[in-house]
Amino acid sequence: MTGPPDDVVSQAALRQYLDDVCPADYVEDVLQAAREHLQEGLPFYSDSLRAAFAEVQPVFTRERYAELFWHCATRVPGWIARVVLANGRAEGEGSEKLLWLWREVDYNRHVEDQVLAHARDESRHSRIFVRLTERAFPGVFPGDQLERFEAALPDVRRCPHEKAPTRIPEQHLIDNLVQMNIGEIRTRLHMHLFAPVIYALAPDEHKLAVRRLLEGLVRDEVRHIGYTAKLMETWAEEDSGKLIRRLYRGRLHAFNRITVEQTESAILNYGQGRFPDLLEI
Amino acid sequence: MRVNKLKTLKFRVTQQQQAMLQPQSRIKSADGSLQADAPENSFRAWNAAFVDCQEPIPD
Repeated sequence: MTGPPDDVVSQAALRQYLDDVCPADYVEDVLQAAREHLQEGLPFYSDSLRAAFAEVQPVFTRERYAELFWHCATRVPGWIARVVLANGRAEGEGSEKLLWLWREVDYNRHVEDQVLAHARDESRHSRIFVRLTERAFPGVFPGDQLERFEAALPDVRRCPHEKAPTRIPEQHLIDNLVQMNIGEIRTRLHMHLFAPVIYALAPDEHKLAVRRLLEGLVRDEVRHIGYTAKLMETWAEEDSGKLIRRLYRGRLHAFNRITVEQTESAILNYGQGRFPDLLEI
Repeated sequence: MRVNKLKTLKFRVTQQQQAMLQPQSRIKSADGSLQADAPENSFRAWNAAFVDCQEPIPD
């Protein structure tokens, strides 16, 4: 007796993956997560985000983007382990940028406290990605590679926290946090793409630890989306609504372009000619 | 059928999916040359945490 052909099996596996990680409407999905976290309606934020996503239709919300992720994870030896580790560096860079932002704000204690807490979270996350790599992919990085990688990561928790001599205007602060909010939305989606793949590849003895690390990361992403969404509501009540709507549209356009640029090398190097549509804006 | 909401992370994989993932080198390109880049060059779309646009605030 013979089973179904390999390509049919592969297609069924891909379909199941896409069904599991691609929500019917990603914007509504992220809004619901933020609202449940805050226990608040977020009417202004919801409208701004919906309008921006409807206009831009960013590539990372397309099913094909998740398909490319699955394609690379299943066909490129060592790719997923390297991508997980690369997140450590990105989170470290994010923590430094947030600390820079905190240094230039000295007129809104509420925002300052949350941005600083976020910066510390990102430093912690950068190391969690190293732990994830160790546990899920033991032996992929031989010798002391991971140790050296971790030692090179910035740690804002240990930096002196001093305000800068310059001050960022509030409009630019809002701009930075709009961008950060959009970035966190994409990162949350990435966690959903990662989870089943990393968990499946982790050795049995590390699966529980891997699961807990991933769940902690995605919980934090929702918290970060939530506090920035709440700030947008407050700023909108203080007459910055028009600016914020404009920023969401403009920055999501820019973020989409950046995502396409960042994805291009994987599409060209690993896509085997199958994903040219992801290069279209 | 697609999930309505990503309420929680999904960790379950089917046997078919596991089979595709476990031997990651099972399928290769025509010349068998698919190899991941070094971490700093790997698929950056899956790692950026911050947009950091240098452009002015859009009109």
